[in-house]
Amino acid sequence: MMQMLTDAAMSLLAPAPLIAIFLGTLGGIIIGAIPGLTATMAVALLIPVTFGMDPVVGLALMGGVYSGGMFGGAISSILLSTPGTPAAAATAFDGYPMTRKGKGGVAITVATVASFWGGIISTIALLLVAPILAKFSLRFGPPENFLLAIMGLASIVTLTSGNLIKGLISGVIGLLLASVGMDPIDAYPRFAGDFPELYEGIKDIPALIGLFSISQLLDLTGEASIIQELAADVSTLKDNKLPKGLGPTIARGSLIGTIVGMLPGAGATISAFISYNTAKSLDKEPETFGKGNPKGVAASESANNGCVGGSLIPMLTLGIPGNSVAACLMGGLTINNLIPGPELFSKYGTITYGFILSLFIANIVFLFLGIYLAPFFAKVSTAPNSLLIPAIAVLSVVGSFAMRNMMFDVWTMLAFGFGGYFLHRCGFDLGAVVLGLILGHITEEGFGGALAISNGSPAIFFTRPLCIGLWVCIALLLLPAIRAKRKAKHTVD
Amino acid sequence: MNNRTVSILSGAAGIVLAGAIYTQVLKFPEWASHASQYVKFLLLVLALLSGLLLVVSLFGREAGKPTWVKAPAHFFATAVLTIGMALSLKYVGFYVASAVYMIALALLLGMRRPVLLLVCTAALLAVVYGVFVKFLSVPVPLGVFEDFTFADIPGSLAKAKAAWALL
Repeated sequence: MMQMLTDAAMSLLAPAPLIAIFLGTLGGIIIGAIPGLTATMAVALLIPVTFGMDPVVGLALMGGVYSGGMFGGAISSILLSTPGTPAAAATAFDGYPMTRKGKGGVAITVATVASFWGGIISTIALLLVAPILAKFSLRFGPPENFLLAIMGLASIVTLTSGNLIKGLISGVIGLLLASVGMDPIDAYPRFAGDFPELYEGIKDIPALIGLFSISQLLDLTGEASIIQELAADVSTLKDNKLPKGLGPTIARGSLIGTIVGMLPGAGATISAFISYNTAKSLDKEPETFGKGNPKGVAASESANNGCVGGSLIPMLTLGIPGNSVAACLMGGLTINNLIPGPELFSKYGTITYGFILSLFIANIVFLFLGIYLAPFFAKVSTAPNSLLIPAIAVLSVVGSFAMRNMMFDVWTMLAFGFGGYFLHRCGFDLGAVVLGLILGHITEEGFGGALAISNGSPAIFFTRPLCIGLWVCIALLLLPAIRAKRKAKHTVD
Repeated sequence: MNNRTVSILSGAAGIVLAGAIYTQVLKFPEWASHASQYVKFLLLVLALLSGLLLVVSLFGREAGKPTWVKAPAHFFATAVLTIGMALSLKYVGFYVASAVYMIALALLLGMRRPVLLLVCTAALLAVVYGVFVKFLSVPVPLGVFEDFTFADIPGSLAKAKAAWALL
């Protein structure tokens, strides 16, 4: 292995792979930051482009796009409350309030460093213990996936800052919206009406852009600029010093991201929410979350970037991609006759280890780009709203359209935007709606699949060892949050 | 309308919504039992939570009033122009609709620096063209300018005029 690692490292130390990693990462950041454009789309488009390239260069380019894209989603999420990717939705909960306080630069720095460590830790796991972790991921079946989704949904309790009943109703609304379209077992098109576009369900990206971006810009029409609490000295914007005490949050988020990332179907979004929920539950001041606590940004970003390495573990070892980007990367491997399995780590070890090592370099590239560019990115928040509002709206329209080239998605986005605005004004939680919408498919698939295995007996959720472990985790996450809410209520009374 | 009334109405609306969706679920065919079971469970939870919200709000205290719209003129200008822009995409295409929308909305929202506005509009559209259309081959709606080419501007404009007349 050491010989292959050395050969792989040497193969990367040439101009072509290094340029490919740099360009891939930079392109990934840009694509990730633009709502509607995803790393999956970019990697899929790169497959034919990389066909004629040296396999190490081609894979390094795609790995750079994947790493950069996952981080890039945080930038628009923090500055404009418009998550570039669904995985960055949880980043907006504290990132955007930090921008409103004039700390956009700090928030981007926190996101950069957390993403970096998330990426590095998951890549180390990929490099050292991939085969063992891959076997563990295979033990996750539909009942475990269902409970994992429930663990994500449990975040609603911690996410909701106001009325808990309204927060729970918001989550159920999200789950109901996710039930639109063909159900996973009978394939009956529910509530699709005369719209064939709805047979596949409501697409996440237009809904997310509408709920976060359009509703936010409608809110901004009453203000002159995003920043509300900027100190007299505008130079505070350039401050990008990393706050202290983020280490445990980042380490925990990275591990959550790596573990959840390697479970097929779960992905970066669910891991970001679980990590955010865990960080809030364990924090001494949970009430500061959602109001601009850097730990919220660190928890979410370390977890979603932790998924990069995590999702590649089952893909490289077993041929089971952890998410859609990993599936596209698998396409990139197979066109080079690299079939996932043990041979990748023996016969084609130099290429495989070269690809894994390129992910380390991609993380270093976006670390430098993120920290260096944070103050410049943060300046966006000083732009007048009269300019930002139309610009965000135009990007939202083109981002929604780009997913399937359908005007239907633009109308979906606008409907969610206006609906979300008034729902929020009525005291409902848009974060919980998004959570329900994103996790709805996994919840229903896991629930239906588990009951199909057990012939309809719900005992399957309580008898399998991993399920019991997950129930314990859910209880551990919920108890502090419920206790904190009761304490807060007593204080108010 | 105060927050308490909003919560009472929200609770009532939740129950009505759950009932309305339930009547639709009853129309599902018999073979789609899995499709209906899950939704029925969610509707039950929605109805229970909405009922709870209604009861708690009826007997509880909730101070304050919701702010529906902070600046009505700006809000409605943004809403109307955004919907107008989405409607016009099919006819005049993305670039024309977006340019007109950006300039009109920015001016209505109080932007008074025309050069900056024009530069930002051009830059944004150039980014969309470069990243979406050229780099990622993601098309944007072009409307009557579907066949427009810079090589034959008079011919392209004539085609656009004909397409517009057809629309």
